[in-house]
Amino acid sequence: MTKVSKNLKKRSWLLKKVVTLTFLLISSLLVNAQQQIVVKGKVFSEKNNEAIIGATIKVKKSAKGELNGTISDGKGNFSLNVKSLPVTLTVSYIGTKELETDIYEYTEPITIFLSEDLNLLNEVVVVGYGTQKRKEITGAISTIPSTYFKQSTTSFDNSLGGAVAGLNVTQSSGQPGATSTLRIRGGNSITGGNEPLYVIDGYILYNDNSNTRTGAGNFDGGLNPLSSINSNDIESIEVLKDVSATAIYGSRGANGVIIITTKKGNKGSDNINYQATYGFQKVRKKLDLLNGKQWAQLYTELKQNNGQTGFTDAQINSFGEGEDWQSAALQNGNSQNHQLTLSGGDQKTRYVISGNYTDQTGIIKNTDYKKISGRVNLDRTFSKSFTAGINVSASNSTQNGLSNYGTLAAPGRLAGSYDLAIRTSPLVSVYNSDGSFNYSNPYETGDIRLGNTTVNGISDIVNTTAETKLTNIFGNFYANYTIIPSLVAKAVVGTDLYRTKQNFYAPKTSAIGLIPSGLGSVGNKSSDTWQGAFTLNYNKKINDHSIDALVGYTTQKNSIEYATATSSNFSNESLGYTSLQAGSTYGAPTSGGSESVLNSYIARANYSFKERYNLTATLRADGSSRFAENNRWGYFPSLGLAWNINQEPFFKSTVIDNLKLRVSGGTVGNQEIGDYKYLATYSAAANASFGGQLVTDYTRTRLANPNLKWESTSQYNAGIDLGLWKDKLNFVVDVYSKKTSDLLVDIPVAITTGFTSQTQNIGAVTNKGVEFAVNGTFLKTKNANWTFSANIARNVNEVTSLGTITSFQPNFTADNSSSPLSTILPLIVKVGQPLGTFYGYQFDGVVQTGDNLSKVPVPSWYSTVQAGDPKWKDQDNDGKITEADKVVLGNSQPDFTYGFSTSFGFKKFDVSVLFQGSQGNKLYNATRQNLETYSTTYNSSAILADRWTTTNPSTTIPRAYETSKIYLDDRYIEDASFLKLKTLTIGYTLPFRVTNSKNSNIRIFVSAQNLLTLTKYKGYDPEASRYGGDETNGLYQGIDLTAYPSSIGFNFGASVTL
Amino acid sequence: MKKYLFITILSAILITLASCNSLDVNPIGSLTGANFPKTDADAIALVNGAYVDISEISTYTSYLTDLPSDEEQCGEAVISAGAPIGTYDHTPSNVMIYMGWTYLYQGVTTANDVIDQLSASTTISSAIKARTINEAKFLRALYYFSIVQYWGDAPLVLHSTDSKTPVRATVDELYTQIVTDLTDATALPATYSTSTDLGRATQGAANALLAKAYITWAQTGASADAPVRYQKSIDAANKVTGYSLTNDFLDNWDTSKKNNYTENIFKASHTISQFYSGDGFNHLCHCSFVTGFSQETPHLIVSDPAQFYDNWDSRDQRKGGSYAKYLYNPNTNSVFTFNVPRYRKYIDTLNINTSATTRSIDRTIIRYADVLLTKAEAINELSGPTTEAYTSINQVRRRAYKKTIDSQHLAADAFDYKNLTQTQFRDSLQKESLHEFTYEQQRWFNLVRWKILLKTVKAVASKAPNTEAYTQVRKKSQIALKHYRFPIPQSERDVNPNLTQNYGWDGSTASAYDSSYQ
Repeated sequence: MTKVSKNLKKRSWLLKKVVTLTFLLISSLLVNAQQQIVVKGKVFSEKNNEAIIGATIKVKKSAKGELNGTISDGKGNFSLNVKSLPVTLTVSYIGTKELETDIYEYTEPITIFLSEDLNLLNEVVVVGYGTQKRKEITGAISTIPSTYFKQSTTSFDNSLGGAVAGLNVTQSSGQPGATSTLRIRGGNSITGGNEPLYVIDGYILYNDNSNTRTGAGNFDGGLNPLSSINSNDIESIEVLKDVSATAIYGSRGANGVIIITTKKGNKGSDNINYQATYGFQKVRKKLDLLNGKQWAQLYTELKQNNGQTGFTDAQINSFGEGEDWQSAALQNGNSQNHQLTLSGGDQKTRYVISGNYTDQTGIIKNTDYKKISGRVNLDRTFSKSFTAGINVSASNSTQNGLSNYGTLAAPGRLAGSYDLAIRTSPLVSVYNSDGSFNYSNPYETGDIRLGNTTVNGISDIVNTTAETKLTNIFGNFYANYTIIPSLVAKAVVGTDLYRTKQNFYAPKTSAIGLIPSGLGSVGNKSSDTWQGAFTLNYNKKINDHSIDALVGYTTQKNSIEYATATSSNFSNESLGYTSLQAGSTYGAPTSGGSESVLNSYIARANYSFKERYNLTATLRADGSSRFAENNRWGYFPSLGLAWNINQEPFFKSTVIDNLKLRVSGGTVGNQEIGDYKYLATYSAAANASFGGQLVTDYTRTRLANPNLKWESTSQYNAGIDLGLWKDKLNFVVDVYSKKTSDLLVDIPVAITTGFTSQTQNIGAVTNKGVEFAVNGTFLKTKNANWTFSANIARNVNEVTSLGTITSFQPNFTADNSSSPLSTILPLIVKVGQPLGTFYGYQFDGVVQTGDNLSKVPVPSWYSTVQAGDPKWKDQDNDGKITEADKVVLGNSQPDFTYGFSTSFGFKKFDVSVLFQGSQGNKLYNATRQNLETYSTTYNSSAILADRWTTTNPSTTIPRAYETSKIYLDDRYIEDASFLKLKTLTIGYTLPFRVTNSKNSNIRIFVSAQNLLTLTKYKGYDPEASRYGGDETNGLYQGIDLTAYPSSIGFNFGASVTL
Repeated sequence: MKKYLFITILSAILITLASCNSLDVNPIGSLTGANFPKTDADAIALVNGAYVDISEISTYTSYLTDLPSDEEQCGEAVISAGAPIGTYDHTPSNVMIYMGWTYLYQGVTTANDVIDQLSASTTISSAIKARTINEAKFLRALYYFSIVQYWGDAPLVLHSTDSKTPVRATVDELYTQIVTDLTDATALPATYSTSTDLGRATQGAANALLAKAYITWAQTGASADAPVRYQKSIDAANKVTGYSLTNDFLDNWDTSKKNNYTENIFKASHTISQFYSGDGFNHLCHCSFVTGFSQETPHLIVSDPAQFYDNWDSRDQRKGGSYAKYLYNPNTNSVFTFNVPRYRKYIDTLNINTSATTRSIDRTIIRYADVLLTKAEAINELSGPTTEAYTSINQVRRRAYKKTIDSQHLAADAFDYKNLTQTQFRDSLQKESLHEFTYEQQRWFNLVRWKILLKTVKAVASKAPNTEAYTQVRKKSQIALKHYRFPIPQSERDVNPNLTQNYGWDGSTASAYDSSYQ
């Protein structure tokens, strides 16, 4: 959308004059006196503030139904006689939108701004470092319909799923404030960043989730830095997908670019809008677990199979349902959101002032998210040639989350406090009879026992503090100076400052605090980025040739600093993290930081001949401090061509009013590997001691690679845009091919080097795909309108080379917060396969009584097999199940993703529906594997009640046996295809106004989120992604290790515009 | 005019920003090779890094060296990573084995880095340079000595520039390097004067480790070379001077006597907050006493008290020093009786309530008793039970019974070994070793070098009671010839195709061990 297309009918009415009944009375008296009223005014173009000559001003209707009119003069002034007030004037001019304005009173000349009437083709689209007519665009750019982000959510990126073809959004967790994973046309990189670049009002932002992780404590999940941007402040979002569009961002364009423009005030009006939304959320589904009696039976059978004893039949029969730990951990969430926006402007100044408050409690106890944010956007025209403005936003968000058990390496691969809660035996009660928490679980044998005391999962959830507070200030200043009419200089200078504070306290009763006798930790992290972009833009139209050239220089510096402090062994725990000195033993303090600089030169030329033939050529040179001196500079060119066939003289059609062919090609780069990776550095620690005293030690921190250089992605795109029946129906089709070479990979290396991995430029990944989008208007009448849009995209990802090796398995111990998966190693990066490929054994049923055991392949980790044992496919037919029998078990990449939405308005009612779907993506349900692993310690899935026994010869569920040899097999690789009804909104605009302003209205609405999910996936949610570390890490996608459950939410609210 | 003013301001901003944003960025919070190491203090801080892994690996040592022997079992659930090692259910993907490999090779490469960096330095004083390089060589030898015993043939990496995909060097090549490094390290100071240096490698530590390396090499290498190696073991042991056995056996693990190097020759330091807040990180403390004063089974516990505790002569102070059947509980002011005795050495009775959590008892690596028994064994193997052999073994024996001898006014030689054949001496020595080094991460190494692993473990497993508590002990009967070595970690073989697998493990093409391995 363009900035000008929002209000179809604009009013130019002076709010500052309060209409009083008295005045109305006087007016009517005047009318009765048959006096003529002279209305004077001036008409301007909103685009350039210039007076419009020859605009038609008509009285739409007067009390007597008379019609008269006039035309604005050489200075834009007009004067019109009307017989009575109130009156409605219509103002029109060729190439602008007709405007209606109501006049209730008249005391001074009125000012009217006419906005350009842009149909889809004449619409101006925001591109990198400027704007461009859609007609002249050569690249693949999609606009996100505003219905997707105007719904209040905690973070706008969460709501973009299904919005445009080729943008795949995965909401990894149901935790309020959680991160999302965004991929534009697939992931290019293996371990370098894959997240798109965000450009907000011309300011470049790389969304780095590590900004909200200070290194303190044991936090599960992360706070999404993008949540600090208030979605209500967003005017438009463009998604730049191909190289012609993204090459201007050079080194950071490889993963696509999302351009966000925040709201600007409208000239000649003042609006006040307040919106309040209240909602509640409940868990979408619960996992079906064994009840007390069933678990007692299983426990007994496991003990007996191990030559031990369990419960007697009488005891088993005495157990009923037992404790429902899952329900005890869950609650109904509730949320509220308040949004106040003041916007408007006059001839020289436009402004938006907004404030937002969001408060959401999670569906797991003691989890919530709060945010308060504010924004000021101000633009001022100083003279015809000089305009300047600022956009400033500030926000403060607080997230309370869960604790992560990864570093405990707890037996049973406990992932965190919620995992412990749902896996606690139903024979153990949550509370003692006196209402206190029960800390005695006789079945617990692992690390979360100390003497007779064990950890209670619910108590851990409720009593552990895991709080992340993010303060974000984001501001940029811009100035435009027209040197000569066709030459404009622009400067954008801005900063984004993140201040994260994390507070962690795990009491003695919690898993993390048990051994250290209470553990408190606080962390601070600041990330400051300063940025300047200076461009010169030459725009000239000579006869049929139009040229738009841009050169510029940009520079950016990012500085990160952090500090953490930890202490433990607390005698009194009531002060928690607020008094770390109360702990009697202190951990070593840590501090550190990093710095990076990126300097770039940019150049772009757009050339258009008769608007038929369009060309965009771009070159960006990027110098990055992240590489050694010889490899610092990367050069990224692109070329795009577009042919508007419908502009050709030979093209005659009454149906087709837009037909464009586009092709583009070029190279962009990626440097998102973190700082100093090329250098060998020595870091201090106090991990050695002599004579009972800690001493400083220095050790080498990495396997240096002085040859590191830019990762580069070559891309080709071809597309067709087709518009029918005056843009009532529009089609866009794109095909593309991308090849990323010199991949920046943290490739596992033999530990005999002293390190587990090294960053190298190695191998290549390709993404090839096709995208199709359609949108249209079914109905557009005075009382009703019905629009729809739909898109579908297919992306095929393949690792085509890994240098000297053909595959490697991502190591789950390198990231020490993820040890629960370190024995399973479910993923493989393999030449010929896509990223996110699962690797393991193929399940082949269950050995049955009477089977010829000599024919059953014996796993190398068993000595024998017996009836009831699981069978795996012997791929190499050697009679044994060994490493050689592991095969690719599918991947987490979808075959295609799709979305469709429709909005329907009838009179005062409006309805909108958004669907998002994904087909063919697989997910490793590690939660289910844990729950289907027989255990005398932890609870299991209810399905295990139907396990193999001699009398119940199951072919899918093996006999009860306890084993440490847990391998990935395809039983746990599930089809996670889904179709979600993401949002359903029904609104009603009340048939009266608060004030006389034409924009004034009251709208009430109800909406539902995630109302419907069609999926075969057996876990909490088919979009879940959690392996224990940073969910956005490209290497570890497709794993659901007890991700925070998703919820169904219902909101109701009201919006009042004065 | 305004136009030029604007352009001037813009240019000024541009130039300012451009000039302050140089692409030469110095790392924050870490040093680069260009400015480190420069001084003596740098050299010492750098070599300190090579000591880190001997402390970090403590977590894994008992799981790798006591658990797969006859005298220990795991109290954890079957689904843990450690328990399968005790029942010989472990595979090449076992995390404990992977972590052991990781810490040992990290230690090797850190030591390599110290040697490379300091050798190249021209600014560090020659005395400190020589000392720190020799400390690093001692540590490198210590790491390789574990590596060669766990895995046999193994990559021999000596410089940071060495191949990233090394082949496995032979056992002989590894031992050759070990004895070269240790011989160099015998130039280390015999003692250190400042308390914050106590615990660094010494001349005595180098000779003691040399004695152990030679005897192990003699027993596992070619038999023709054995006599020379036994002799070198004896020679090295003779050079370990200035040490004696403590009267009180448990003094060696007393947290109030950390700086007492009477008997302890070399230890891994475990000081509060060394890795985590409030934690000394010695997992041996945690695993033996995590369940505190309760009858719940801790993570590591004696396999069968009937075979390893009940029949042990109570007059031997090492029985009470190795196993806590009775322990004073200050919380109840009474003596707690464990149904199954706990490993005693790593229970910190000075901080009994936090023993399992603060974990700050230094881990013994070599003590003088070990040198004496090594010497006695080497002499016996080389020339039968000589007087010198008896003197050595009986020194250990007399300390063990010292309290009984003193309190009952017995003759000093009342419990001495006398008049044994070479075989009897060998058997006695093996029994003495078991009693001396319970829960000191020696048992599996010893059973392997004596080549009696299979028969010893099977004998214990077969005698284990047929009750629930001994399930994992009975499962020890699964032991097979392949358990004479640990498998090369699968993930390491995945990234280094040059690594072959040990006999009997998944993907191995190696031939079986000969019939001397019983």
